[in-house]
Amino acid sequence: MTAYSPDELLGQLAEALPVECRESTIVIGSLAAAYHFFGGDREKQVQTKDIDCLLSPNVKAIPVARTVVERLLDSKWEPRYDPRWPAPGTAETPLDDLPMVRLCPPGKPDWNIELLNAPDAGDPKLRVQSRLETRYGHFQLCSFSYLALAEIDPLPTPHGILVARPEMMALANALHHPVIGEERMAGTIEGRKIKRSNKDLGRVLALAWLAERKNPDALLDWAGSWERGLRTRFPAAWNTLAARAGLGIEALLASEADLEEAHHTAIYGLLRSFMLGPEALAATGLRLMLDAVKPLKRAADEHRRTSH
Amino acid sequence: MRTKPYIGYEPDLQLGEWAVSFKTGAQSIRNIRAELLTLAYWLAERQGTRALLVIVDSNITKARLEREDALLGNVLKADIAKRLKTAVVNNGRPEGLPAELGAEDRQRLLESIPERARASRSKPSPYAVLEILLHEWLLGHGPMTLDRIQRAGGLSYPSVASALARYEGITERGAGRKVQLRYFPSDEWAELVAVSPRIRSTLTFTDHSGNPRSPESLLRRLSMIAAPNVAVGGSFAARHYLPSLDLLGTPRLDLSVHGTSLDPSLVDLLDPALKRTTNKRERVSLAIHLVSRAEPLFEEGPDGIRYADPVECLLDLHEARLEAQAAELIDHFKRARSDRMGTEGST
Repeated sequence: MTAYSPDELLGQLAEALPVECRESTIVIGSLAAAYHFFGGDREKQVQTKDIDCLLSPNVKAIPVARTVVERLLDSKWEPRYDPRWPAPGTAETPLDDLPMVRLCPPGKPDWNIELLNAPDAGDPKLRVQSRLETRYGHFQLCSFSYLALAEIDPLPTPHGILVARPEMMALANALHHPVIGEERMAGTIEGRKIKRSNKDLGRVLALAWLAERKNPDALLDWAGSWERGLRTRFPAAWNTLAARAGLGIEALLASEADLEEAHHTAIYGLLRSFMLGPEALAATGLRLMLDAVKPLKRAADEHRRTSH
Repeated sequence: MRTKPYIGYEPDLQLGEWAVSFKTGAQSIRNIRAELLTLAYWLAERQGTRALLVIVDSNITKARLEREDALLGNVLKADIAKRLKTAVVNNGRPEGLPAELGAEDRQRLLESIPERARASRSKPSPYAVLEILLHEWLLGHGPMTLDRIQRAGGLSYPSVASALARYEGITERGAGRKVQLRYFPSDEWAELVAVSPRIRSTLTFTDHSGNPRSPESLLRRLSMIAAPNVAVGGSFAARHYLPSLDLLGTPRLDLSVHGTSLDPSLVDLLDPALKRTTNKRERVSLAIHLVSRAEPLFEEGPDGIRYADPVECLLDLHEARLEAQAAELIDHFKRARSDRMGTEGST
C-alpha cells in the first residue's frame, strides 16, 4: 500500500469532485483523522486504500452521489468491484446484489473513494441500503445510523470538502461496537485477519491517543462534545446511548488478545509513525474511560434522574 | 505484554513469568485473602503467568499462610491455584520463596522490599523535630512550646526533648519553655537534604501511554477531584512562596499526601496511565511524598490550592536537582524573616 501526505490526498480528492458536490462531502475514517492530526506535517503520511466519503445531508445524498459517480466515470475513473458484485446492476437487480460505489482515479489503483450516505434522522436501523441509479448502472449506497455523528460540525478544509471531527468518529465507532463481535474483516491488515470490532475500537483508541498528543486535556472536552452530538442527532435515545458508549472499549481493555489485535491495526494504520506498544493503547483507553466515557455516563444518569 | 488490567491490579514487580505483589505489615489474614482473590482474578486472565504474594514484616507466619493456601486451593480452579504462591519476608529474611526463582531474581525481589516498606514507616524523630523548627523559622513564626512541637509532629515528650537536646547548639529557649532556631542551620539542613532520600516516603510514577501529561495538566486534574489530604509541592509550591523564582519548565508534579499510605485511586484519578516505578532511569511524571507527621502544615494559597510546607517544597527541589532554586528560595525566606523582624522591631 502506498503512503500519501494527507493534505495532498485530500486536495486530489477535492479536485476530482464536482465543485457543487464538495460541500456535501464529509471525509471520514483514517484520511480525515490523518488530515486533522498531521495535515500540515509532510513527514507524516497516511496509508489508506479506502477514502470514505459521507454524503450529507441525507436528503441530498442520492442526487449528489449520482453526480459524483457519473462525473468521475466520465473522467475515466475506474470502478473497483468486489468479486461477489462484479458489475453495476440494473433496475431488476435486488438491492442486496448491487455493488457499493468504489472508484479509483485513472492510473492510481492503490486508492479509491467509497461513497456512503448520511443516515435519515428518523430511521432507527443500524444499517440502511439505498439504490443509486446512474447512467452507468445501479449501485448501492449504505448508511450507518451512528455516522450521523460525523455530520456534527464537520471541519472545513481549504479544498472545499469537509472532514469529520475525530471525537465524533470515535463515538460513532464506540457505539457501533458495544461488544467484541466475532466477525472478521474480509481483507487482511499486514497479513492478519482482524475482528472488525477490534479494528474499529482500536481506531477509537488511536484517535484518543492522537488527540491527547495534540492537546493533553483534549479528552476532557470529548465528553461535552459527545453529549451535544448525541442530544442533537439522537434526542430521544441520547442518554441510553451515552450509558453504553464505553461498553466496547471496556470489553477491549479486558481482553489482551482483542487489545493486541486493536494495537496491530493501529500501528499499521494511524499510529504507524509512532513506536507504541499495546500498553500505551491500554493506558489511553483507561484515560478515555476516565475523561470522556464516565462524565458522559454521569450526564446521562443525571438527566435520567432529573427528568423523572 | 504489560497491560493495565481492568480489575485495577498491577504487580509491584515482574520477575520473568512471576508477577510479584508485596503486602506490608498485614496483621490479619482477612487482608491477605483480599489480595489472594485479586491475584486469582488476575491470573484467570493470563495463561502462563504466575503470581507471588510476599507478606512483609507481618506477624502472619508461613505455616498460617500454607493453611490459607490449602483453603484457597479448595475453591479455586486447579490451574489457578497451582500458579498462585505466597511467601513471607520478615526483617529481610525470606521464607517460602518459590524454588524456581533464580538467585538474581531473589536478590531483585528482596531489594524491592525496603522501598515499599518505607512508605509506612515514621520519620526518625530528630529529623521530624528539625523539620518543624525549620518550618516555623522559614515562615518567620515565633518560638513554639514543646507541647506545640509534640502536637504538630505527633511525637512523645521524650522524643521531642531528646531531639532538642541534639539541636541545642542551633536553638534558643525563651519564656514559657518556648524554643526556636537561632538562625538558619546550614549544616543541619545539608544533613537533612542528604538523608532525605532515605527517610522520606516517596513514591514515583511514570507514564505508560507514550503521551506523558504535563505537570500543569496533572495539576488541573487535581483541582477537579476532592483530595483534602493532598498538597502541591515542588516547583509549583516554590513559585507560590516566591513567584519570581527562576524556574524554566517544570519537570514533574510533586505532591505531598498527609498520611502513612497512599490511596491508589488518587493516582488513577489524576492519570490512569501512570504506573509506579522504582527505576531511577525512567522519567518521573509524578512524585508523591507521604507526610506522616500529625499535622501536615499545608498552606492554602490565594488561588485555593493547598501547598506543601516550605521544608517539603525545598526537599522536593533538591530531589529534582534544582539546587540553585532551592538556595534562592532559602535566601528569600531569610530576607523575608529579616524584614519582618526589622519591621516588628521598629514598631
